[in-house]
Amino acid sequence: MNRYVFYNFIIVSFINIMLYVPHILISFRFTGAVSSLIVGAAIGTALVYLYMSALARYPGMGFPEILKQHMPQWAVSALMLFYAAMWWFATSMVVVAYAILINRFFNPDANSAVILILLVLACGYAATRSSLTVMLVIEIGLIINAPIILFVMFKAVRSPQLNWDAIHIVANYVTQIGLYNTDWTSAERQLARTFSKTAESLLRKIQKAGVDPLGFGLRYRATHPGNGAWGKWQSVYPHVKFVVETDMKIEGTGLLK
Amino acid sequence: MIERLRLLFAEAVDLKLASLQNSGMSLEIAYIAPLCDEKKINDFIIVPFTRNEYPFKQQLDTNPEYRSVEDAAKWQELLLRGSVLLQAGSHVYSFDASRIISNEASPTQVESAIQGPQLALSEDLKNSLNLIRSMYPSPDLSVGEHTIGSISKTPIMAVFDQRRVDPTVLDNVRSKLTTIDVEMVHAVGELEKLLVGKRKHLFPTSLITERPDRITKAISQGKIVVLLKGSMFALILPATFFDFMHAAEDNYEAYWMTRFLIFLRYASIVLTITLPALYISVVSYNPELFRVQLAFSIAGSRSAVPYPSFIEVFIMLFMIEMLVEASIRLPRYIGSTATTVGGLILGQAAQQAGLVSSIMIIVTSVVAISNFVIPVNSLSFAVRFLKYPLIAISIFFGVAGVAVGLFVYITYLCNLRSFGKPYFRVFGRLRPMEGDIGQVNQK
Repeated sequence: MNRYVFYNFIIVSFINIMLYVPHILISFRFTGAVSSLIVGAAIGTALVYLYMSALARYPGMGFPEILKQHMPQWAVSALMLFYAAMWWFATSMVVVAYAILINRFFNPDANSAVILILLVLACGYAATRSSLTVMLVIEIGLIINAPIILFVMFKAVRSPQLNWDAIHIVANYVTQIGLYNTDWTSAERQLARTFSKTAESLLRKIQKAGVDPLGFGLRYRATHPGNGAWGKWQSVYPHVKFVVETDMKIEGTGLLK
Repeated sequence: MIERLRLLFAEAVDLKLASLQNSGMSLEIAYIAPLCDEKKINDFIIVPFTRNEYPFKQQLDTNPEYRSVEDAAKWQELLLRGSVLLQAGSHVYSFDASRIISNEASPTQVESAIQGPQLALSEDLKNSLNLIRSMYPSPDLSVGEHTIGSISKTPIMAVFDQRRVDPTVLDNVRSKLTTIDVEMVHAVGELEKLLVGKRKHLFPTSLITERPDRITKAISQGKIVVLLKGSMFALILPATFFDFMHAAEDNYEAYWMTRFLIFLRYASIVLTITLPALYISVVSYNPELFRVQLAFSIAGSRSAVPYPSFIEVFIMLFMIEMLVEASIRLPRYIGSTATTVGGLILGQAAQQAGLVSSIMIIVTSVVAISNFVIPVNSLSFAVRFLKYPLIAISIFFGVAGVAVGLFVYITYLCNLRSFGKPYFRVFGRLRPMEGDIGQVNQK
């Protein structure tokens, strides 16, 4: 297998070091992110291996040519349009994210749309070259950037501000498979009803004491014109009925942060 | 004998095979014309044979100059050394008519090596072929002849190694050479432009050289060499970016020293392209890139300058370009004056007048010097142009713009093809074998 096969994978790994993947992993760190790293690596490798061995049966042919051998022309065109749209979405996410990053850290005074246009023009020029050119560009880009990225990662790992205790705690969740195989909806609904009842009793207690700390009266006076609004409110407030609707969502289980 | 030689040797226009007849016998004669002294051949073989005052067969037997050759495997070696092979009846004789012009050939003028061969090609095609054949004595060397120019009718020789050459490139070059339609061709540079075609390239895609050792090395790597009558320079194609960075003496010096020098050349190319753009970015756009002390010292040296940094950069670069262009054409006697002018006035006085900062002087001199580290002239001219678009983009986008600009440059370089072969790749030696990742079919 040619070394160019691995370059695509390595370059996407480098992109994902700073794009959305760390944020997603951290927000799910108690609910299965750690185990997903391992399971994902295994499933990903198996899928890539299947894909490569399937492609190897058609030497010298690209994706559209392979499909044309087995499907009619209109189906191939529809499928290619779908893939083009899918890849367009994926890459535009990356380009927009990098434009925002450059805007935030390098050119804070610039309009991020202008930076986006610059990136889109440069990437558009590179992407419309032939496949051989793109492969050579990836190779050269990796050789230039990989040492820099690895150096930055090394400095990050050896930094004294890295909290190794937090890493150890999260690592203990490796056996947690996550929320996906448990349905919390009924628990959520129950908890929502309980919370509503508690909130309503609290509001009634406040009402009985004759005070309005939450500011309902202010809102009433702002929305009802006229001089008699305050008097009207004072007479209405002791008889108001409170209805609380709660929407409860369980974020995760585990330690309190 | 002639049929056998025709099979053994590659198709070469300078290999002369003839069959002569006189009243008594018939003679087959074979020799490589540039390697032999044709006057000698005339005096010793042709004239006695056609006059036939004494039976030529007797001359062959008695004259010690005609040596009988028993072993047919020695034929190609004898021919490539400049001997003439004669076959009379069933015996084969050899006659040494070699012409050695190495002591008459002129030394190199443009590219010189410290300890390598000092010869240069000559303006006569025959002498050039003599030099090349004596440095590359192989029967696979094929020489093809073409004529270019409707008025000048300049003869052109295309030399390559039949076994190692890339057939797609060869077809490409041959078809181009036969379809060129122009009135006059006198210099190799003109021929290069005609061969490249309609596309206007910034980078040179073929190498111009005058050294036969570089030519024979290129032939052994499977490239094609084009010789032009009246020009002592030859054209080597296809050429990659790395051929231009590789001076001829890199093969003759110690290994680590040449590696270090090659690294130095690449570093100087990067410096000469990016340094003005980085100066503008660091001074005007992203001063936080360096530590505070350096930012303060840069700002301090610029305190007297009343206009933004990019105007300063344009002024200094314009002056340096003028200086470089003028020094090509200066007469020898004014040369020292020009260096004084450049050094004192442009440097010292401009800085003291508050027109430029002292750091800008350093930047400009580094840029100018590092541009000429590149061994081959044509690439040096191309690289001189590359810094201006980067300056333009750094004015608007700063350091991020420089990075995007470098990416666009790398893409442009990787997109260039030199006669079908990729111009810029990491492992840059051209390998003409099948299955190499750079095999492309079209131009």
